[in-house]
Amino acid sequence: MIPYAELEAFFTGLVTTAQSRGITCAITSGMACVHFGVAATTKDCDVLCAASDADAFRELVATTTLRDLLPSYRGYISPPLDARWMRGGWTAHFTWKTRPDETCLDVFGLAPRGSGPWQTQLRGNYVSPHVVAEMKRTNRDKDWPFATALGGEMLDAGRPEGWLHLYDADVLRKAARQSPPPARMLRSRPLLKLAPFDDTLRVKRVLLAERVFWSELDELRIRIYHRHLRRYTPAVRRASGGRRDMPATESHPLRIECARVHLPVQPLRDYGLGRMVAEVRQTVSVTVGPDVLDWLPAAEENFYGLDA
Amino acid sequence: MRKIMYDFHVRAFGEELARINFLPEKRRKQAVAEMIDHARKKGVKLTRPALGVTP
Repeated sequence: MIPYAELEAFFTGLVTTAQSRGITCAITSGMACVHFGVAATTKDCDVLCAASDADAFRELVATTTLRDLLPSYRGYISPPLDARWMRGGWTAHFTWKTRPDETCLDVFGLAPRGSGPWQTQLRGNYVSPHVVAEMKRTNRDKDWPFATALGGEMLDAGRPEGWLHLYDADVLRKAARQSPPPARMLRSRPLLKLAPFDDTLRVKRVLLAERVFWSELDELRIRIYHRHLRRYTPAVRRASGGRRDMPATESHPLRIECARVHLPVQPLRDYGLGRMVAEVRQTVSVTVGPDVLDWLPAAEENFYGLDA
Repeated sequence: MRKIMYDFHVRAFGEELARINFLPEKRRKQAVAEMIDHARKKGVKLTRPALGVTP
C-alpha cells in the first residue's frame, strides 16, 4: 500500500511541475480540505486545470510515473482531457494501477457552482477555500459540514465571503454576534437578511430550502451529463477492443473520436442554465413550500465559465 | 470565531477529528495520513466511482 503522505507528495509534485511549466492548475476537493483544516478521508486527487492548458497537462500526466507505472484513463466512462469538453464541465479520470488499490486523479476545467474564475484565487498548489466551499454544495449530505467548516475558516481569516458558506443555524447566530454579514452579500445569499438569526425556526427552514435547492440542482446537472455518457461509454469500450489498461496516450485519440459522436461539448448550456434553475425552484416550491422561493440564492451566477 | 468553529467541528465531525482539524498544518496532515492509512490497512475502500463529471 502506498502511504498517504507519498500520494500527497506525488500529487503536489505533479501540480508544482505543471505550474513551473506555465500550466494553470491547482488541487481542490478533499486534499484541499485537509490543507485548509478540515480532515477528509480521501486518498485520490481532484485538480482544476485551465482548459487552455489541457494538452500540456495531459502530456504531463500521461508521462508521469508512480512507482514505475504510467497512468491510463479510468474505465471506459472517462471523457477525454481536452479543452472543448473541459469548457463544458466534463471531468477526465486517470488511474495509476497501484496495488492493492489504484491511485486516481480527476481533472476538470470548471469548478462546479463556481461564481468566479478559480484561476485568480490560487493558494500555491491549492485553489482557495471559497472555491472548494462552492464545490461542496452537492447532493451528498456529507459535504455540507465541510462547506460550513471552510466558511468559518474564511471568516476567522478575515474573509467575509465565508458568510456564503455557513449552513448551520447555530454558527450563523454566534458569528453574527461578533460581526454582521456585509450588505453586499445579501444579493448572492438572501438568507443573510435574517441576521442576527435569532428567529431560529425561520433560519432553519430557509437553510433547509437552500440545501434542497443546491442538492436538486446538482442532481439535475449530473443527470444531464449521464444521459450522454450512456452512449459514449460502450462506444469507448468497443473502440478499445475491451482493453481497460490502455495507456492514456494510446486511448486519448479513441476517446476524442467517441466524444465527437456522443458527448456534446456544452450539455448544460444546451439544456438551458435558466431552465435548470427554474425547474429546481419548482421542486423546492413543492418539497419545502412556495413561501421560501424568495429566500433562495441567485444561482445564475454559479455557472461561471458556462454562461459565455 | 475560532471557539465557535471548534464547537461546530466537535458537533459535525466528532471530538477526535475536531482535535486534528485544529492542529498546526504539519501535524494535522500527519494525523490525517495516519488515519487514512489505518483505514486502508483495515480494508476500507476510499476510492470514489468515476462518473464522467465531478459531483
